[in-house]
Amino acid sequence: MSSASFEVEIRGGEVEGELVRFRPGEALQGSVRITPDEDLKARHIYARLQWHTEGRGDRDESIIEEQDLFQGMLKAGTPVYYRFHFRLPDQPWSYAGHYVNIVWTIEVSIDLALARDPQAIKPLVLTPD
Amino acid sequence: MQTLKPSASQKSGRGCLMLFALFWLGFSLVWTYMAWRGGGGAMALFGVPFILIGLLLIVGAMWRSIAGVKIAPPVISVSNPSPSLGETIRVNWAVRFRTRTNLQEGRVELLFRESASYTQGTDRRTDTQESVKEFYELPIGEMGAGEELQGQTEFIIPVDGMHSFEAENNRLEWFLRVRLNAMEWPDVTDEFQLNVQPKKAWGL
Repeated sequence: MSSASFEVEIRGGEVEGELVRFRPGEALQGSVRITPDEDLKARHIYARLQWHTEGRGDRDESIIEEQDLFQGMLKAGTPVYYRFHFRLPDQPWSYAGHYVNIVWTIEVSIDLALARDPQAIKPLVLTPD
Repeated sequence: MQTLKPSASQKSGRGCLMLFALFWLGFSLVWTYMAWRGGGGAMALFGVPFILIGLLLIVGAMWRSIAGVKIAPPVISVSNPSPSLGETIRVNWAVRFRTRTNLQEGRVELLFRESASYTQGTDRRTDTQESVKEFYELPIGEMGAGEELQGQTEFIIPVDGMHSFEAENNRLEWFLRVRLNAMEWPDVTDEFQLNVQPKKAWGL
């Protein structure tokens, strides 16, 4: 199984515990450092801003924006570094309820042919003051 | 002021129940008839409980219509059907009684509901969690035929609440719900949906 280590950083927003909180409409800047464990032919490296639901119901999800960061060869043990930038939408806000939770994440994934895509997920909070 | 229509999901739920009840009852009647023709009374007796269940299902589907014999559908109008969080909405309500009615309880409620739908085996289930944020008590007592109660109240959409959200399997919804409990008669429960905006009354 192909693998790589990811370090995803998010800048902007306000740190609240282990999460970063953004207000609707704010800009989010981030970066990812990827170190492949083996040579990988990346069809794409994607950064996605997305939300999904958790809780009792079946999962709903939506990709708000997707950025294609790179296409090409990644060499084993050689770290690569990419930046991404998103504008957060007005809704839905992050929510933790009885049966329904809405969770926002930044997902970075390496799109590989005929293999499971290595990925890293960084949660964030979208809520106004 | 804008008059709201009752929530469509309530009507469609009653319609689905009626279709199911008719199918159930029809199947039970045919089966019982065939059993009576083929095997005699003992076999036919086995089908009677299923016929009774079908009749109960039809009564359940018609419950709201039965309630409507005494109490006409409540009329609700609001100052803003798409309020922001923290906004105060004015609510005009009107209830007309078709016949003499002893109203034991009447409320207009501001309701927040979480709905989560999921597949379990071959069934599709929906679990809900409701929270009444505010309510207004209507006058109660003996109402004459043709009498109409009406009035106005105000509700504040909680500023720390969540906006309306609708996805395929998960929903967060706001309603104004009217509950009328008449003595020895089916309750009236009608819901009117609000579309709470993802912004606060003073901005985002």
